[in-house]
Amino acid sequence: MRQGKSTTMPFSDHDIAKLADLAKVALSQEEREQLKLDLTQIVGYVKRIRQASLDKLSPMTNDARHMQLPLRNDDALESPPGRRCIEDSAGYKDGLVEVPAILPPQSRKED
Amino acid sequence: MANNTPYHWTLAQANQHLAAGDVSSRELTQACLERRKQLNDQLNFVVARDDDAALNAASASDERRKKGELLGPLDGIPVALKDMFLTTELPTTACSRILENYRSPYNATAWRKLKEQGAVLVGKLNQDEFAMGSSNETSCHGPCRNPWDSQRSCGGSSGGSAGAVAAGLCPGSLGTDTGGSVRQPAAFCGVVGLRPTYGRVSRRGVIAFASSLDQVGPLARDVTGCAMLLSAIAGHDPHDSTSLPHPAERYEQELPDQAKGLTVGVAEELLEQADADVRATVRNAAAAMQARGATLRPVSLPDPDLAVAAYYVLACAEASSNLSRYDGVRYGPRKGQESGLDEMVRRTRGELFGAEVKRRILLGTYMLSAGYYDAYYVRAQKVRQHLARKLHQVLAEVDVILGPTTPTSAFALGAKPDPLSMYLSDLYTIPASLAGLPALSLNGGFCDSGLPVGVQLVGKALQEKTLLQAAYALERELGLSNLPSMNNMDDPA
Repeated sequence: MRQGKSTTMPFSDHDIAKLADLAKVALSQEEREQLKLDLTQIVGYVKRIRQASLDKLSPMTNDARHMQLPLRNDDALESPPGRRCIEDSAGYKDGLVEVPAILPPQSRKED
Repeated sequence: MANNTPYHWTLAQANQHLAAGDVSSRELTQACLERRKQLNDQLNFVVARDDDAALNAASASDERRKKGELLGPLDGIPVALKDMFLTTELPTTACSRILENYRSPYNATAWRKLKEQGAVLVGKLNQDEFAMGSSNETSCHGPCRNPWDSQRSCGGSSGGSAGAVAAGLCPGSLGTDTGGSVRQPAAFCGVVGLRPTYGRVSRRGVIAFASSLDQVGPLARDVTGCAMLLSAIAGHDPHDSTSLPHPAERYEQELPDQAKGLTVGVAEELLEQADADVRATVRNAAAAMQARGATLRPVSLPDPDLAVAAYYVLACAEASSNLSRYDGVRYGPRKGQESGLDEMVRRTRGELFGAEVKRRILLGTYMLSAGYYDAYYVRAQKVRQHLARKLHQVLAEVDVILGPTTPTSAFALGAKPDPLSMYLSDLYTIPASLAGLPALSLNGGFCDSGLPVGVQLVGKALQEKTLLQAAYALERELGLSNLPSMNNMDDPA
């Protein structure tokens, strides 16, 4: 990654490969070439936020007005019944959440 | 155009006809379903449906009406939902291949509320993939087409929600608005679209794009319909930590047709970046507000280009985090399963996300990466604070701000091939999104080519009532018909 370098520099093959790796996205060569152009253009536009004078401002994460975040006592509360916890899941059986197998049976045997 | 066919009724008219016994909910629903059959092949609004379930729900409403057990003013009214809303009845995919055939075990709160009030679900609606787009062209189902001109975009990302209402497939719908995704398509399709105050409507069960910006918004053919839908879906939800504790109001019951006492801010300098048709429409709308008794006051607003830049940093950063959950393990289909877990995740995301989604994920990853986090992400949050403060200062002096919704009327499909020019079509809608303020688009007139031109009203936080009152007065003064001629359709209305 081009840490600390000017953002006006175009994105390189290495930059795109690194970002794709971090984001866990497989890309074709054609996609990588297009993304180099697109990201260079877009980052070139958004860098205008670095020019505004904002030194005395704090970052704003969201604007949920009058949102209450009440603190409660540090008391251990009884957990809700397990069935209640899983009733919003796609499926459950014998008290367990059912999920699709992540790897095919053959892979699991090899593990 | 004659307004005597059920699919042309506004939401309030449908309610009145149902109450008078002129039509049953089943007949009204059937009319909407027939309208879909007539037009959907050309316009591509509906991506999932269950006609039998819709007709059964309508019949159940008719039974309740006979017994005098109505659940609310929306009982028996057909509605449709953007494909971002989780529904147990129909698949929810965000119009992405990575969620193909996904069916949620629970309903989004906004839909649950509509359902509990008797609304009839007539379909899930086309949108940009994961709500990322301004033209509906990133949908895995292909773009929907504008009922005013089928060669043009419905806008996005809630293009199907706006187009379906404009074309008469339903009198009302729900969309989501992150940077303008309800208001921009509403402007392109000549309907009314409202983005409520952030936190006014629960986001539970709405697929997340950028959580600090996403908000549910109603679309309808007129302001009253929009108000009815907002009344039904607003209110606190303990399942959404960003939901505000303010109760819902009956917004449609307080819509005076005068604007006396209202002060309307007009930002003339903003119009420099808009087409001549748009400039003329906004000036005409300002005069119309004045004719209804409002006081106009010139105001100066922050640079919208700065807002767009900050928005795309924040929205992409949040999207890259939110969409990390789509890894082929928990949702949807998988690719490359034979290659091991890491490769399966990479190939699933690489092959099943569309180009725009991948672009934003990589951008967000870049903005959040070491060395750039402070320069972009934290900086953009400060810009957001700056813009929000400026808008709040202006709104301390006026009740609403009037301006354009979009720089142009509906553009042609394929007219914006590079992403940056597409992002700039949200120039006027993004500032209110960043500030968490309520904003509404309604049809302000027509350009020379006959396309609708939207005008936007931005209100104070939690003052949706004032915003809707201003919009209603403007709508009454303008007196426009929002029914597209459908001249370019195979079967004109």
